[in-house]
Amino acid sequence: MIRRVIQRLVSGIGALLVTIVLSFFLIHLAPGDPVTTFIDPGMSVADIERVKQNLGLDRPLYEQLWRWGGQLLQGNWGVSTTSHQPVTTVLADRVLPTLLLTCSTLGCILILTLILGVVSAYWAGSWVDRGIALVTTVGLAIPSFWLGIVLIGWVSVRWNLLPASGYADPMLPVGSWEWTGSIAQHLALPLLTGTLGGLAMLTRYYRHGIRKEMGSLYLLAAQARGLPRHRVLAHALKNASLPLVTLLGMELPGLLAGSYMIESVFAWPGLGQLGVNAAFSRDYPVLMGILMVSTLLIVVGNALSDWLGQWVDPRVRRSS
Amino acid sequence: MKWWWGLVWLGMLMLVSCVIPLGFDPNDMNLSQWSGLSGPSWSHWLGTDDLGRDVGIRVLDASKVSLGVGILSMLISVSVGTLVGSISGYVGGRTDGIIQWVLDVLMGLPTLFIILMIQAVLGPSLYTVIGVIGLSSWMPVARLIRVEMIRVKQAPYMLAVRARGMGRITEWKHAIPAALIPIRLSAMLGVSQAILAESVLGFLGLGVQPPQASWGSMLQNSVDYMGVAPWMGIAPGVMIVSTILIINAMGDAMQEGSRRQIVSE
Repeated sequence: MIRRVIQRLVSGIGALLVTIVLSFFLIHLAPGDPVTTFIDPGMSVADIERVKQNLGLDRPLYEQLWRWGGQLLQGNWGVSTTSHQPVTTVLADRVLPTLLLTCSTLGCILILTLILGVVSAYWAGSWVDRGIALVTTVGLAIPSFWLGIVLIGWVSVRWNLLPASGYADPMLPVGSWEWTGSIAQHLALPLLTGTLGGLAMLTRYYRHGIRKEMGSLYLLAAQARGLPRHRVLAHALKNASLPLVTLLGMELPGLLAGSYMIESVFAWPGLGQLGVNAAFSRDYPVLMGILMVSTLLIVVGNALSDWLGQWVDPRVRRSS
Repeated sequence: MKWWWGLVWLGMLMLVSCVIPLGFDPNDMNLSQWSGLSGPSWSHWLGTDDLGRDVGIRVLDASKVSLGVGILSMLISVSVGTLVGSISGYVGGRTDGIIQWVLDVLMGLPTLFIILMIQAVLGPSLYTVIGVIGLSSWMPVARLIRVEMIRVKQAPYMLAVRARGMGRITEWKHAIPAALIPIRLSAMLGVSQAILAESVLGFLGLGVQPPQASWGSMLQNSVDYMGVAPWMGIAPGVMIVSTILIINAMGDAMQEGSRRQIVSE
């Protein structure tokens, strides 16, 4: 158990380090120089050199990385080159919407997977099962951003049912009930898009898992003892849920990337939208901050799914 | 051999896409009216886009980009994944441990943003798209190959190879073909994942550069006209969805085939 936790921790820190080093070197590979945002035409070459010296850009790259990392540990993540605000301030406003979208998507996927998986495994071969299979197969093939656009086109523009983009009505007082309701309204379409995209793979795995479990010997014995079919199924469920938990952890990076994609389609003011914009305006400090936060989210998510997996299956707990 | 039909369809799509520029110019603009947009008609079966370009011809012309990116990046990811995974599984021990740790780390990275960043730094082009997608998706393949390699290593024929004492590299070479068998399904899925990834990059404007079309970039183009010209978005979207459905079905059929083979053995 402790060994597993340490393993997770080490690979998590490793992922963070790789992200930091990779993005740091990419920034310095990029054409152009951070100095250009600090100079104006009236400056002499000596002035520019002094700016460079002040920023530490005349030092070798590894030394810059070292100093930058030291600043990072002290909570200084740099300053955005577009909005000239500290990166931490820029990110702080964005984390909550992203967490809201990702976590609610995750919750919906999990609930629907459990329901659809059980239904299609229990009535395997029926029209319900075939219908679910059709929906999940198509769900696997639809790019989520396209689904988002189509939903905006029909639900918002044509039928005028739900708001097409944004987070909350800016006219409403923050924290009021109307404000919360407005967020829920804005959340509906991105949530639907993300859920449909993420649902397909997990439902298929879960159905397959339950079917496999139903065919195992211990459940044959249960059937032989005369247990009704729904109680046999109930026994199968818990054991079939373990791979689901692990898979959810593995799909997490994809889910996060998916919700970033969806954010930029629906103008959801989260990390994803910020990141896409930062990549285009070459706002590297912000981009780097987002990379680090995303890595952190994935690491934490993986650890959670690991822990959940052990909670569901005592065999894993004992073997490690 | 049901999956051959999928291959025939994809091959025809590729052929048509390569032949079409000979007869029609996919970038042929028509700005005689105040807007190029026009719905499906006899002269333009799938309508025209904002610059008066024929959507049907562009969608077909874009097929070679999307399919090409899908197949080539799959080849990259399968080759890298096979190399790393087979070494990890065959050598075992400490090397295996280190490689597994590296894989663990790499799989925890926010790939989308790293791709975005690399594209922004290198400047988008067809080749960077292929390379970036291929090099960011080989990790699951490596995992799969590693497990398979460990299994193949214990097969009787590998014992025979080892008994000849021709060195570890020769042994490793003989183990690879057997370990590659279950890769077929994940290779097919890799193609469809890569097509999806390309469409995402194209949608963000980081894919192939205009005037060359790809399905993703056509979708991006359609967003602004979703209300007035839905045909601009529907054609490339349907192409993406149908191609991925076909490729996934091919993968399923292949797996079914190999399962039957194993049972009949």
